[in-house]
Amino acid sequence: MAEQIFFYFFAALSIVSAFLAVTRKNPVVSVVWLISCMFSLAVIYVILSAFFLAAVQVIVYAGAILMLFVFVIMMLNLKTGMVGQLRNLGLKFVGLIAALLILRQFYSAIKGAGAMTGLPPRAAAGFGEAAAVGKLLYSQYIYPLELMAVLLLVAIVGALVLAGKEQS
Amino acid sequence: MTGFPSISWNLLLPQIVLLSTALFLLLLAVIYRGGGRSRGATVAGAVFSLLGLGVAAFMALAQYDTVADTFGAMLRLDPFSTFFTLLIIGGAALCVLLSVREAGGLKAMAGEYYALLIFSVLGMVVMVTAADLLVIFIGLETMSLAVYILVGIGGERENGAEGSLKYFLIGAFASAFLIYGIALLLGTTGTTRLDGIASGLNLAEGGSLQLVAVALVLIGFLFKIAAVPFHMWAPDAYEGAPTPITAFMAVAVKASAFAVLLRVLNVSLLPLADYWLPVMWTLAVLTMTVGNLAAIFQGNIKRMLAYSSIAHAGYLLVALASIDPAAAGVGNDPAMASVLFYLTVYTLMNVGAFGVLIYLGGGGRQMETLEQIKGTGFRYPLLGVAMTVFMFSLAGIPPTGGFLGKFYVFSAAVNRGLISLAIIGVLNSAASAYYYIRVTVQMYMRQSDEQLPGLPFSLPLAAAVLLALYGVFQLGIAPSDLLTAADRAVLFLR
Repeated sequence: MAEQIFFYFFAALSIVSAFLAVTRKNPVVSVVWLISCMFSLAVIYVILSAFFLAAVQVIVYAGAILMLFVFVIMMLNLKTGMVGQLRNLGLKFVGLIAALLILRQFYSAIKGAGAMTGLPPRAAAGFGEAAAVGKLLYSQYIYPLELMAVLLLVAIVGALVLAGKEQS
Repeated sequence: MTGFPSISWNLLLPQIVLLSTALFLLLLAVIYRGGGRSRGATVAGAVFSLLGLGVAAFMALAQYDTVADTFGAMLRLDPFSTFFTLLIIGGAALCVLLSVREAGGLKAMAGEYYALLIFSVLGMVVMVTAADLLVIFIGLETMSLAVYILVGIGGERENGAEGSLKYFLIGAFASAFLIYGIALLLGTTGTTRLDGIASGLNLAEGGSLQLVAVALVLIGFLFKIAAVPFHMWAPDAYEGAPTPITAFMAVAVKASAFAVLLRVLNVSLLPLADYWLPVMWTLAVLTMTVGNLAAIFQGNIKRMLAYSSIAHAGYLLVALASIDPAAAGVGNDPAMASVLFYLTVYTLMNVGAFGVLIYLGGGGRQMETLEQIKGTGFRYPLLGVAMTVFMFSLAGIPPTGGFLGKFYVFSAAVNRGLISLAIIGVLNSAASAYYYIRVTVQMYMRQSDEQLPGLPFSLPLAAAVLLALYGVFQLGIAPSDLLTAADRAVLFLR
């Protein structure tokens, strides 16, 4: 019961904060709502017994990435209402239609999945802990993992190249 | 919990060679940084890039007939993936030849330029040899990140940064679509493996979500091939990038994205063919028409070739719309083989056209607009002839490879009874002749307003243009070898 209350509370909180993050005019306020959204998602991961994922969510998203957001916004010194608005009426219209179509599709998907009763089944012991994730990463997913290393290297080299261009 | 997957390292040799080459080029860049010997850095970078690409191609060629999985079936080697590995490496090698002069202008960044180029080739090879959506995504990101940087690397170009940023922002957006689609597919089918997805697709049960997932994944790929309406980034990125990188984007990025699209559509999404075939039909018509109409109004040749490359993606989508789902496992499908043939020809004629453009710009005078190339045909006769051949090939006029490429694509459409699609394609092709031949007209029929300077001879550029010229004629006159290889390659797509 307590778990259910937790789930509904944080699920609702994540949706509300995501909505507010999109609609707020002040970018700093937007980012704060985004942080709240990320935190509520982390709590939902905990309820699903994905503890490692929850920790990563907090450290990487709520911590590092959003900190970066805040830095960039502060450095650019964006004022309230400076985030560009969609002035093109045609684009707004297309966006509305696309959003409605996606909503309809998700609605029928959820309806098609049948009624959910209670919580999803409990995961096996040890599931979602750092050790289990690590074992999976370094065995079955070793190829993508090594490729990620290459990807990060490319990103670092790229950042240096673009930054170095300014100096020379 | 599954154990450590068995690894056949020899299947991975091309990737290992490419990675080592890229890392070595990074080191080389550091070594050359000190003395300011930018010319040495350029030449050494090009030589080692070509060497690495050559060795990787040799490794891939040696395993051409191998059909095997490794890394727990994350990587799949078959003639289809090897065909594309070789095509991508070949296209990249031609682009390296085009780069020697341009990269010299980048001074400090010449070493990193080649390293990023090879990194992006590595990402493409990973993509086309992948048998898992996760690996495809990482390969795609490696490729894209490297190309975003390469677009913005052109030092003094003011629109390079704009093109790069636009490409990056829209590209990141498309990646988000792709990864969201992959996540939904994982959630509804229980796997990211390409063959597993096919058996996991079940429209009766929760199918609606699967359709959303498939749509999101396809949007991610269609963005990379610049299909309308996901093409907005292409003209700016193509125009702002250094010209060799424009060529690289037009040929290698497009080829690898089409390879993945073909594999995903045929291996994973064949049960949904009734849904995506009409989508491909519509997108083909849109992409051809918008690309060709917009190309007519371009004064800048790079921009015109950008729209032309959108139009060519449209012709390739005609082939995708003509895939016969009933041919699965029965025999070869001429529609799919025509994609492989077309992409090969397209690589050659595009590299050639961009090569001539770069060569013309060597005299210290910018040669990018229709105004600027006036009268160059008689001043530089060989380049004029070469450009004419490439333009005729792009327009699809015999006896060039471009004609046969279009012929195979449209006849595949007719075979499947898509007469109207074939007619729209032929009409588009006729319209495109207008802007291709206008280039030739400008070169031969108009007089230049000023004295045209002499062009310094450049061996790598001349070699690239001659190779492309040879290939375009070879494929236009004797296409049977490549056709046989393409037919055989697509047999392994099921």
